[in-house]
Amino acid sequence: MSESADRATEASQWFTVMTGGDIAPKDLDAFRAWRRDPANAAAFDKVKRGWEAAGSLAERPTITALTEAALAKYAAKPAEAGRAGPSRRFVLAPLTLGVASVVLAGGVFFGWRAQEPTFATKVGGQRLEVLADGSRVRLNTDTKVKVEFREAERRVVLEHGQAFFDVAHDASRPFLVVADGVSVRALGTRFDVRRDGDAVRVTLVQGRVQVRGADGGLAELDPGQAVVADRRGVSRPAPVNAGAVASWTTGRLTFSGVPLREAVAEVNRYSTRKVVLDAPEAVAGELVSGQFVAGDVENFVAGAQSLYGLRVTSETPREIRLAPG
Amino acid sequence: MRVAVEEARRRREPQFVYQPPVSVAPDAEVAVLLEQTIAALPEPIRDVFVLSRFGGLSNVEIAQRCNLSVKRVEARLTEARRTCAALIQD
Repeated sequence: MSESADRATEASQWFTVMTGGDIAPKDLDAFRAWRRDPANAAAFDKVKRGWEAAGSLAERPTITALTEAALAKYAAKPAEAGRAGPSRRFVLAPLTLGVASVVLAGGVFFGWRAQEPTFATKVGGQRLEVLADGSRVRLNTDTKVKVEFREAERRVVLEHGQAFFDVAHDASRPFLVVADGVSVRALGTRFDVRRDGDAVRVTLVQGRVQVRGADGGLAELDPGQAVVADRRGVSRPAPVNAGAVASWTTGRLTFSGVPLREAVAEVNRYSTRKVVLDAPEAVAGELVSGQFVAGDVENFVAGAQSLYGLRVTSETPREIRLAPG
Repeated sequence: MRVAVEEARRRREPQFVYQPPVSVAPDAEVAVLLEQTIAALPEPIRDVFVLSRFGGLSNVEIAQRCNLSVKRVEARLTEARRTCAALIQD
């Protein structure tokens, strides 16, 4: 009992070290040595699986409520929101003003600033933010959004990347997502917006949205439909597997009949270590279905190797090359 | 296996590139248990855990927001993950 309890604690400690960012070479060596013991490897695997399994609960109401409560309790401090670029005057102003006006000036300034935060993720990152109106925005890998709430409308600018919106209903204050001249107008609804180069893809999960292209063209979506908008206009709404599109919100990627080359591109969005496919069209065009953990490039590579007869031709911290073997 | 793959290839049917070595989505029973376990974690540990797992915040961001040292954040995550791992079958 106590031996396995110690092992479980050790395994969890190693998981924390290995996922904490900068890993010292000596830690890496020590971890490898520790994991050589099959019982240790199994304990580590359990921690990893528990962590992944927990991730799949992200959309459950209990979990969402706990997360929102914690986010509200520990709101981003001005210093952290600083990445969003609040003016330094906010910090300096109170020092030069009288006590009474400090409260007022600080309050007003912060109040105004708090309406305009910017949130971003790095490659492989994801984050959930609860906005001032209670709407939730989940940012996918390598994404940046700017929140501009005004009295008459709630506006969020998708600078790049992909985000899933769960909009709090407020008929008097429309919710707008703006991406590269394309705007998505919603009341209370759940939808996904993704920028890919010049194209903006909008997928509706629930409710109703209106998409306006940069050319002024309009499209209205029903749940389960998607449109692609670019400079030339807005496509006709087409049925899609909205659940698969939104599956990234639970840390998973779902492919159903996607060419291998596209699956590789999708996998690469979540990883700084990129898969490079040196394969003829016959192989790159093979259709892929399946589900896997976003960011787990090594496992994707293992699967591709065994099913498509590919092999790893070179491996560096930056990339893994796959070619027919 | 190989034959089945060749066969599927000929028919141009989508095939599973990826079979996770472990199931990603826990079965319903484990999911419920896990959800209850997370909800029942002591609040200081639970807050750090949900901010990390579902809020997508880094350990440094959590430390800043919660006024904790990064070490303390890591210790709480270690504790929470150990508790979750105990629900996973061998």
